[in-house]
Amino acid sequence: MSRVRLVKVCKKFGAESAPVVDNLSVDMAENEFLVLLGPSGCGKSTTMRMIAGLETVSSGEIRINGHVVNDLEPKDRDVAMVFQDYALYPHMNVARNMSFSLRLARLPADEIKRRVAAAAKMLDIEKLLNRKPAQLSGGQRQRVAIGRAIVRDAGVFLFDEPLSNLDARLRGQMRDELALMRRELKKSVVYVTHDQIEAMTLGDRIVVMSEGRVQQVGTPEELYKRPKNQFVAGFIGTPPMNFLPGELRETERKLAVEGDGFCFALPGRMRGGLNGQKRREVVVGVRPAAFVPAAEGARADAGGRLTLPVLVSEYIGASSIVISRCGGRRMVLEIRSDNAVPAGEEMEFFVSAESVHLFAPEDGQAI
Amino acid sequence: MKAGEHRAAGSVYYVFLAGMALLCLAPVVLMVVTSLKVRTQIFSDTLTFFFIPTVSHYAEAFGDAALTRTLGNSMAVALFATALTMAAGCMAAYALARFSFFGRGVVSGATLLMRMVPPAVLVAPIFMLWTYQFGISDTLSGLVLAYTALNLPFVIWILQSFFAQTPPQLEEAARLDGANPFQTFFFVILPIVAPGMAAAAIFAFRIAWNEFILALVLTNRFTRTIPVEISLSISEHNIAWGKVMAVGTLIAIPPLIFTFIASRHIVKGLTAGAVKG
Repeated sequence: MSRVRLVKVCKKFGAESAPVVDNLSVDMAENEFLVLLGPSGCGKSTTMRMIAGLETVSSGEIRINGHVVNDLEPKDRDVAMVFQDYALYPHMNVARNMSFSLRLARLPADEIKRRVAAAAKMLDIEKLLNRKPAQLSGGQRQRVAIGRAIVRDAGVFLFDEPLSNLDARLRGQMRDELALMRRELKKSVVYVTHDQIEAMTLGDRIVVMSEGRVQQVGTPEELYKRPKNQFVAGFIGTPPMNFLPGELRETERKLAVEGDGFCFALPGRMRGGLNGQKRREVVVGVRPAAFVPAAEGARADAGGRLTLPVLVSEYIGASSIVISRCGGRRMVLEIRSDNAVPAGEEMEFFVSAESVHLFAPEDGQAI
Repeated sequence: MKAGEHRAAGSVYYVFLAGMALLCLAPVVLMVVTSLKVRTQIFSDTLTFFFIPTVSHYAEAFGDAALTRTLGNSMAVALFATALTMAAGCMAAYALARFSFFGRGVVSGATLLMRMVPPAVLVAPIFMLWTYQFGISDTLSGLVLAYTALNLPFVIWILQSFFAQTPPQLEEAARLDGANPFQTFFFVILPIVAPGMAAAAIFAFRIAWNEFILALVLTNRFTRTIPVEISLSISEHNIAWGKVMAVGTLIAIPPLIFTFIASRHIVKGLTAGAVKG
């Protein structure tokens, strides 16, 4: 039932310093899983800490359930938080760690017992209740940390990079469990991460941040298919999008973008990018997976074909990553493994016109 | 060949260690042994380790009302001074370690500076203040106050590093769990720095228990502590060696017991598992 709304939130450490979070406005839907995504130092953790009440807000408003909570203590904000490095109380066993907040709130003993048992059952840590944090593995500690948040029964859950300390295998497993758990919990979740796979798999919507500013807010699919600027395009998707300098121009009613070693025909609706001019410098973005080997057959919507040298071919199972070079720029391509060609040879690709992204070189905004 | 060399080096090492241990323990052994001898044996020219032990000196010590009173005084003063030092010290150290406020560096440095002044230098001013300003000389509470002041800088200094090492995320987690600053301090932080508290308490207790100069100046014959009392057994004309040694042995016991109890809390790596390093 709870929702978080940020209205023009700014955070500065010191009056003269540059803002860490700059004019951030986000409106969360009810029971939404919102991910704050960005490289380290982009202000995403600071934003979360402001929502939690661990940092003051320099200007702007944070609203939870419609109430401005700027000056409320963390405990009065109806939020529960899971910390990046767990922050379990080392001298308390798992059960006492989980019940700490309930004991402080002086809840009746049987109620505390019931809630801890329910959370433990949900997280499959019933057998660990008497252990101390030091006797737990990383994944178990993470579960306890989540359990400590669950028992509080708060309206909003805050996760601060909860999986970043786990090894890759466990991270994948916990990610899936989190996805399952959030369906069970039906709570609003704000989740901070720098891992775009986590963001894409878990989030209903993602807020991509860079240097304290929101770059784009949208569903994972929107971010992937229609990035608003070059930063979002490069940040979302692995391997990252290839960027090439090129020129957009119109000749005989046909729109095309051309650069060193490539030329793609574009659909007419992208004409607006020319701003009435005849030609314009642009940055061309093509996702690695948008390159389709010619061996798979020509596609009707193919915007262009290009022949690229295969410098390195990395087999990773179903697909292969091909490192290539186009007009002196390094390119990364992702193709089906059965079509892979050994390094040293050349290969012909089609690129569909729909998968070509154009960005303005001055400010990186999508055209 | 190599193993043999190792063994040879090892035995030299152990001989050296045994020598060091002997150096440390010999006076203690001599004290205990002497306290169990009768007077004639003590003054005999030959050093004997085989004799029929007697507890007469201990009986004499416990029979001496003045001595048992001073023993009680010492115990009361040391325990109260330690408790007071720890109570004030842990909060001061936490504040210095965690909060940034005007003059923090100065306060932190000054606590150490205080420690560099030998107590003997402080005797005259403390005596004047305690006697003429506060009127608390010759009282046990006056002595407790002096020892607390003496030990506080050191205790703060030790505890500060322990508090600085506790992860701040724990305090944030406690805040989110609804703990107020005092609950956070007493329920979350203090249990974690228990090893530091124990170490500091051992030092505070031992210094308060052993202190001589201030006790000599600030007490009268009713509030005297045991280090002062024992020194009075040594006069120009007579040294009651048996009694001195027996009392000396008795003095050594409480700090030992206190250290054993306190050191049980000095468990390394207590914060392990709190946060991922």
